[in-house]
Amino acid sequence: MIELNDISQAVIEGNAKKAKELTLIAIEKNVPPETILHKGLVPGMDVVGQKFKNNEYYVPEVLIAARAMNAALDILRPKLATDAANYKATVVICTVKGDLHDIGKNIAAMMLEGAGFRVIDLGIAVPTEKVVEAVKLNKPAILGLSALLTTTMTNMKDIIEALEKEGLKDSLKVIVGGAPITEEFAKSIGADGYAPDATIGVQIANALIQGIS
Amino acid sequence: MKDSDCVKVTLRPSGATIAATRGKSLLEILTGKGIGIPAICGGKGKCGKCKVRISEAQASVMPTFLECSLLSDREIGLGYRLACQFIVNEDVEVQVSSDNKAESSQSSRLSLELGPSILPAVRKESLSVPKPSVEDQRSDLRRLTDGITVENGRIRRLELLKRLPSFLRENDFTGTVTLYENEIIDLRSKTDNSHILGVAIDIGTTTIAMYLLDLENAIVLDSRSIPNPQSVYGQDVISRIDYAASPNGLTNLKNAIVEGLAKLSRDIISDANVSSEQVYDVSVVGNTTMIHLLLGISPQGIALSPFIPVTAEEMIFEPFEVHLQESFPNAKIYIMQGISAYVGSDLVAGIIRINLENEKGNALLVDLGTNGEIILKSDSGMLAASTAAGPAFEGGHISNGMIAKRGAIDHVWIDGKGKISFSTILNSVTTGICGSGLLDTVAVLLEKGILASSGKLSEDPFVLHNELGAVTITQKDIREVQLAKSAIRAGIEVLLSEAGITYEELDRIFLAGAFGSFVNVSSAVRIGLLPDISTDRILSAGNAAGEGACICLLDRKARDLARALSNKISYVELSGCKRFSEYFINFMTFPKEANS
Repeated sequence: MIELNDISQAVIEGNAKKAKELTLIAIEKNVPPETILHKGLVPGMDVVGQKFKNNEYYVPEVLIAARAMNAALDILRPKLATDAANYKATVVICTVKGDLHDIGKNIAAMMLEGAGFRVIDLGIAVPTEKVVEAVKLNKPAILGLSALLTTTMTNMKDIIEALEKEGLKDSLKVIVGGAPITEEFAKSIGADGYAPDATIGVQIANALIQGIS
Repeated sequence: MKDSDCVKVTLRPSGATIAATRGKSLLEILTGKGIGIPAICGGKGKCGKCKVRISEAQASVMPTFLECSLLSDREIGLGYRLACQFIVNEDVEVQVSSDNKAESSQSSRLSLELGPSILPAVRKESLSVPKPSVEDQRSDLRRLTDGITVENGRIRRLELLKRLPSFLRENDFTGTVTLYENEIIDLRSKTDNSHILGVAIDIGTTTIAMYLLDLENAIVLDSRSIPNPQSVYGQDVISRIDYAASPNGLTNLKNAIVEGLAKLSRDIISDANVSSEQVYDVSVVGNTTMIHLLLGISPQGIALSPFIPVTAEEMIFEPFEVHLQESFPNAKIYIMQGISAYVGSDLVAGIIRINLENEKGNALLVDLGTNGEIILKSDSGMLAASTAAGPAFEGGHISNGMIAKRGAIDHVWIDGKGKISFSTILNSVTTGICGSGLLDTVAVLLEKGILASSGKLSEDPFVLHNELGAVTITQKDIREVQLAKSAIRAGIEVLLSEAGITYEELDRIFLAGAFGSFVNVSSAVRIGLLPDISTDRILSAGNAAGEGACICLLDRKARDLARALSNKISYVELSGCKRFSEYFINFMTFPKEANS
């Protein structure tokens, strides 16, 4: 089991090379990929999230850690059974129409992935229709929306209204985030959660899916 | 207004009262009366800067959730509230910090020295034409245009044409013609020897500067600046655009700027003992959003991808078209050509002022503001970019941040005994810290090892204190500086790599903008805001934008240059640029050691 702790440590240190090597060794030793994910990578990202919350880590460290996690995940993904059992839930995430900011959204996506969610990232400046389409296709439990401009955050409301129109809103929970967003705004547009940062985003996602299941 | 809908707001210590409609926020009521309350976030309850003290009776009103998160329990106990959150339902007494108002309306003097006039767009010519006769039946207008040296001379101003017959006959067919290019814009009697004046205006998001010039002697008579009165509707470009979309928003913003310009022009013209009628040319520069707002054009396209302004072109207006007829009844209003939604004519004016095009080797012009604008001149041409640094350099989003005014910590250094020392503006008791002080603090903390290169602060909060008082710097403040400096630096790096050069190959960096003039260059290099080149190659360009606007009054060729520049400069869009994101993350940490 010592490799699993080392894998966590490699993620915390942001050492992509080491994370990759240790993951390969673990696979060779017949450690089930699910175990590597849930006992190695996820606890590592958990520590990263804690450090971010305590102000010990900032955006660069989190991204470097996430890069290390992704390096290991790239090896694991083909070996993981794609059935839902391996994931807590599916999250569709994007930056809304008119808005090209992606760093915050990427951090949130990687933290969610690190917390054991299946994350489908639609990218930046995603038109409302595309979001609705992706929801129909992937049936996520959670939709994460990011906006960094006061002029684009209103597009979040459009998306929620479009989902309601299509009768899709009740099947999922919407979490919104980004610099100009406030708790009040989130409530006013009918979002289910407001994430002031990525770690809180993960907490809320966890709480919301417990509410669902 | 029915009596029941009316409430009374009493200002302390002055005792002045305001009648207001019940149910409005205190911020709306106070700013509606021209009382300057800083509201960096535009009254959204996010910045916490619009703090006011409420009389005891009203202080029992429950603070909102946002107030609780932005004010300390002690402050709330003392009756402090956020003006944007406090809804006035009963008569209330408010204590407003006295220097808010005094300093926001104070004009500060700027200085500029210019070379001799070369070729202004506006000039006068003396006139003496033959009197009409049966043999010479040319019309009055034809007689006038035949009598001046300009080809295709014309009159466009109908009021002037109406005045023409009596003018010619009363003055015995002589006088002085004022020309704007080939258009006759005024007629004066030969005895009127008053000089032709010009006004240059730089409309910044934070500050408006105005220069009064004698165009016949090519001298600056005076220059003034005031804070942009639109600031009450939001501190940065995006929050103004946002406000412009609200009902009456665009009109309010337009009126605010027009009134600000009226006030500035009244002061500057009366103090110079001249008449507003002598002003025949007004040259305006500003960022593209400010120009939209001055013209009353919706700037909505600027805020959203793909960032399309209505115009960035050169335009010339009659004063009444832009509601400036009170300030400049006879002038033509020239708006300089800009480049894009986020690189405006202020930058073009700056390029003209420092003569960047003819600078030897590779040179960078950086305007450090809420939006950092960057121009790189290299052998392969000129590149421009704009990057959102956020308001940290102007004190926004910083726990004890403030703009550079009385009491702000402006410089911080390590003294001979190794102790951290600081100065404040006007040597007053500290009330907060401004951008230049903040940058110095970060540099000093890195030097002292109190701040790690990762940005982790080992003493959180760190307290700056001396006999002038104390100000705390928090971990969150450091994070804001990291974001701001990295946004600027990443923009610089994208342009350098686009031009295929490295920072070592930079021969010059010019810093423009108010913050650029005050910042300690070594600190800017130490924290990695600017590339690590020898600090004697980094120069302050002062108020380059306003001075560039002055040059356009004195030399019409500068206007041709402005148009040519906008075609020559390639704009590099940084939003959604992968390389920018990578640089942005890489430069978020601080350099490990100072090299110089």
